[in-house]
Amino acid sequence: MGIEGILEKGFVTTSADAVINWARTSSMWPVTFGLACCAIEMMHAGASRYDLDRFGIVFRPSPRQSDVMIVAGTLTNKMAPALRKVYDQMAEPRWVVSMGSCANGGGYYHYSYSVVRGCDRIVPVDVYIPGCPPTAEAFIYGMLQLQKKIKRTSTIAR
Amino acid sequence: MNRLGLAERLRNHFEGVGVEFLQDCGQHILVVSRERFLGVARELRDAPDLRFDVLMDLCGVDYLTYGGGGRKGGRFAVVYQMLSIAHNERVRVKVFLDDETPVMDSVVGLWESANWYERETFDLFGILFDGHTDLRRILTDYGFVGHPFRKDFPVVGTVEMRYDAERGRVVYQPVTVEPRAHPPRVIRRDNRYEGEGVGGQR
Repeated sequence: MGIEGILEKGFVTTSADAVINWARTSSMWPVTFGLACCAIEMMHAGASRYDLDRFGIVFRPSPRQSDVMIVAGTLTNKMAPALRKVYDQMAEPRWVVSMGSCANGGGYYHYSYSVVRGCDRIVPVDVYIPGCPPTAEAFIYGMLQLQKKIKRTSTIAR
Repeated sequence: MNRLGLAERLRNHFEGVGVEFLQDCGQHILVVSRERFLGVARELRDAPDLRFDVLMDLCGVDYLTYGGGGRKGGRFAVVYQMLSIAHNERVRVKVFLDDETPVMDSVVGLWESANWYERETFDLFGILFDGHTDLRRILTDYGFVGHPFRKDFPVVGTVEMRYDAERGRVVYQPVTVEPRAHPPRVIRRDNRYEGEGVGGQR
């Protein structure tokens, strides 16, 4: 290909898809939707021991600056409209991580009169993290799975 | 500080006014009728040898299925837990209500803390508090129908939530899951408390 000649001049060639996905996976900014005890594990993952900043995951207080929504905890009927509103305010492309049994399918409160039986009834979910609550390691594993999922997508259709 | 025990002082104040005195696990319980309750509550708060100036908690009880059902007396009760900081003592006051739409007198004028407790009790049990300044629901969803802590309220409820893509908002629909069968788990005896008269008493 003659790439050696270009490299010497300080160039690297790649595909646009790879660059876009590299940018997306390297700075997944989540909007924190901490609803219950899962949010504590999410905070642990963000704190110094596990340090989500290493992966370019920086928590944002606003959905308008975010790429990922992490539903961390029990989603009640009363909170569901607010969750949907936050999701609707996020800019495309956007992803949702459902964290813990309650967000995945109602969990302990599946037969309750006031709890949504899984946050996928309200928003489309990309990654489900099992656990009650999932450990910080499990949460990071889920975020890495989401990175893999994003890397699979090709933005430029052929 | 007090020569007399709490039981004697309570008797001195409320003997002969239709108050029932009970003791369980070393705790003092007064069972009062609704008509006498406000007077008793005021005296509990203001009498110098009682001074129950903190209302720790206020809650409702539904006795619909108590002891297998068929219990005589009011279906609902309102229970007040009071603390006297001056004397380091606690007392519990219980009021039974008879109606299907139970009404109780509000104690917001006596203890400010009763405000949200009474809203909660109204929300979950449907007990109305006469004299409350702002008796709204506090926990359940806006527009919630029913009182979920009543024993005849189905645990799975009547509605559930989902997102409606056509209307672009979250909507309620009739509940789709079957209620789970709960075998009754009633502790009739507990060896740890054998001989102390636990269970079977009100």
